[in-house]
Amino acid sequence: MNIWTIMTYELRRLFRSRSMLLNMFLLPMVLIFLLGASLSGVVGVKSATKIEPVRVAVVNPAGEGQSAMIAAFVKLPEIQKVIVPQDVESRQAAESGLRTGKYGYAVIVPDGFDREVQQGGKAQLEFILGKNHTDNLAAGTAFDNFLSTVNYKQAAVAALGPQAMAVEASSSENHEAVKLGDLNNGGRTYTASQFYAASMLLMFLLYSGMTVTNSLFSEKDNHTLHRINSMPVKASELFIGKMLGVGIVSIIQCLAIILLSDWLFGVYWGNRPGLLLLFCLLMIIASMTLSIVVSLFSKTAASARSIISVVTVCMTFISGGMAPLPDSWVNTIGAFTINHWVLQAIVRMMLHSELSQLAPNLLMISVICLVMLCGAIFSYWKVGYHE
Amino acid sequence: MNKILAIAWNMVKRTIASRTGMITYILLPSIVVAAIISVTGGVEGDKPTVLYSNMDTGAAGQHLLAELENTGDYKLVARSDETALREGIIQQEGAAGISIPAQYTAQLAHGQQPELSVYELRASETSILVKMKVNTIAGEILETARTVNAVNGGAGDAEAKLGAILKQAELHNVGSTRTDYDLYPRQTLGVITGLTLMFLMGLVTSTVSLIMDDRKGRTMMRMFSAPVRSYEIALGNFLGSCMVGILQIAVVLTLGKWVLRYDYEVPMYLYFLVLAAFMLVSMGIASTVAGLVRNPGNAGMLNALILTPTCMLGGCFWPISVMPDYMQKAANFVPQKWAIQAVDIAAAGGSWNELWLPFAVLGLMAAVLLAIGSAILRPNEAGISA
Repeated sequence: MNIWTIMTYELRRLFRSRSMLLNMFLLPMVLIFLLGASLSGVVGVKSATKIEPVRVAVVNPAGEGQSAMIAAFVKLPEIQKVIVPQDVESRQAAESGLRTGKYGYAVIVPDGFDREVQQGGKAQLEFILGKNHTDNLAAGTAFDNFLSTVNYKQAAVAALGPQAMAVEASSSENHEAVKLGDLNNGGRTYTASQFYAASMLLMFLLYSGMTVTNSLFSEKDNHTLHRINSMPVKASELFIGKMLGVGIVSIIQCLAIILLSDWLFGVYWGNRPGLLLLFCLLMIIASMTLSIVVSLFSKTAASARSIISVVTVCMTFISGGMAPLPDSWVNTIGAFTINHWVLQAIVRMMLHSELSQLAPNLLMISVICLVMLCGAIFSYWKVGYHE
Repeated sequence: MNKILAIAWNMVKRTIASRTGMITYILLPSIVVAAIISVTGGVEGDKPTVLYSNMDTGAAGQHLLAELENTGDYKLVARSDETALREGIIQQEGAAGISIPAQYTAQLAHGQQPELSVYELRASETSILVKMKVNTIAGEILETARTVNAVNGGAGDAEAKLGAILKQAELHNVGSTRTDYDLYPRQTLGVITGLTLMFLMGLVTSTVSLIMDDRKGRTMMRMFSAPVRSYEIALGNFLGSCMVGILQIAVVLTLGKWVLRYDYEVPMYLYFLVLAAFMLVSMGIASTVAGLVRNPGNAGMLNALILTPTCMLGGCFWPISVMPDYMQKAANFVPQKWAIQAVDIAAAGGSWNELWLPFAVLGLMAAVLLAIGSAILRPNEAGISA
């Protein structure tokens, strides 16, 4: 009965705090939105951003060796959207222009470029990279695409004879030769924003440890723990009641994130809602027990809080949830984080994987939870919760 | 002035004079930041892995892979079939996967337009670039196949001819050479600056939480009963946390530059100036929040509420240029964006002609936020405990 009273009071206290509510329900939504909006919109890079045209210094030798092909290419209207060609006298002028930032990119056409191309010989343009990475990429891609078309044409002429030259280029620009593969085994199409939604959910479940710390230390800091201890309440009842309260809030938070992200952003969470909840529950247990151990052994609320936030951010980061990390990392060092196992399981559920593929993850996270639970019980038995 | 300095000095002493203070405020964060710098900087040389499954027996599939290999940007790893490829992508064994369907070359030779599939678990720079690259190559192959069919008119061995042309194209008779004078900043510099900014912002929060503790413990009320003005208390506290922050920046930069030998490509004093300007802004943010929220625990949480989203928006984790247009506009309101821009300009060798803008924006943000923060700090009121 005491446990019940303490738990309801804890719940009431948590739900009355406005910043608590902001942090638990608004922040995850904002983060999922930010991640989804900034990263999943990238699929068509060109349409996502308006590229400023790059000023390209074109060094085209005068007289006989001048390349009419390049001169015509840089005048095409669709190319002029990407680059602003500027005729430059010499290589030196182009180079010094690059260094001062006058040009973003430089293209040096060798003497007799056209002749070599028509005779099937070696013809190489020289590109000099400028100061801006994006500009380099944009200008380089424009010229490279042109060169590769010429290259295939030359190869075709060499193999088929001059009549290959006469074949008109089709308007292949609009035709996508590649489609985005569907990772799914049935069910809805998987999108990249789902991955980030899952990783954010896990980060916030880990953060629920922070609530544990706040709840445990607020009584100590306000010296109300003395008063509670003087009541006919067992210390263990108080402790269990508090943890139950925090646990229930975390479960509500988890449900809110899942449901709201589904309704607002259309994030699909997979075909096994029961198992998803089980994984989340285990995650909550793991993070709560972790912060119980930390809070019991640290002297001040500030140090406990900083340890838990460092652990949370590090684990999310290492498991690849924040910024894309190299893949070799994710499977080696990432495996030491709790996030990794649950994240993988959630992604698999989103993709409708078989139950047998989920079993190892479930086993792993259960073992982690069991170990942490033992640790929490042990540290409570050793240290206890009193002033 | 003396009073301000006394308060500031006291603040510094309280934070870092003890051994634990030294460890928690200076040593630990610097080591974390320095470790991240060295890890991220070291990762740079690694090529991202791209998985593929080639069911095609003809020349076109091989040509596609050869061309990808030729770019030198990716490590290609084979998988036995499409199912294994998908499994590999889900296991995050590669950043992207390419599946070449069976009879790819034969279909091309017969004038059809077979489609390749590219798999990704999440959008990343690699997967986007791979998709673009594969699209270009596949488009060229398609075009070549069309040419072959047009010339042949359906007669003769189109598949063999296509193969011959692709073999010839692999020689890259027409192509380009790149001359690189290392004029542009390295890609990881942005990420490293971003992560440093994130941790710096978190650190500033911790010093501001000391001010909160003062108010909660009613120390500030007592200070106020001495002949000290409200603005002197506010200024002294800012100056104190400013000194601590500058010390933190100095230690982080020293560790990164001279111990781990990371090449920042920026004059150290400039980098220091950028970080210091950013620190002032984040101090302004933290103190504004501290003024708004009276409970220290909640203030810490609210700072987290601001820290992560602004870092994402400001381009700490990925380059701003990959974000959609309206997000890029929104990023202008975030100090991180301007700090990263300043570092970028400096790394590209820009002079103060270009550098003044980000610094001016940062300075303005700092001034406004600090003014608001000191106006609503109100040291004569005790904190309300909730």
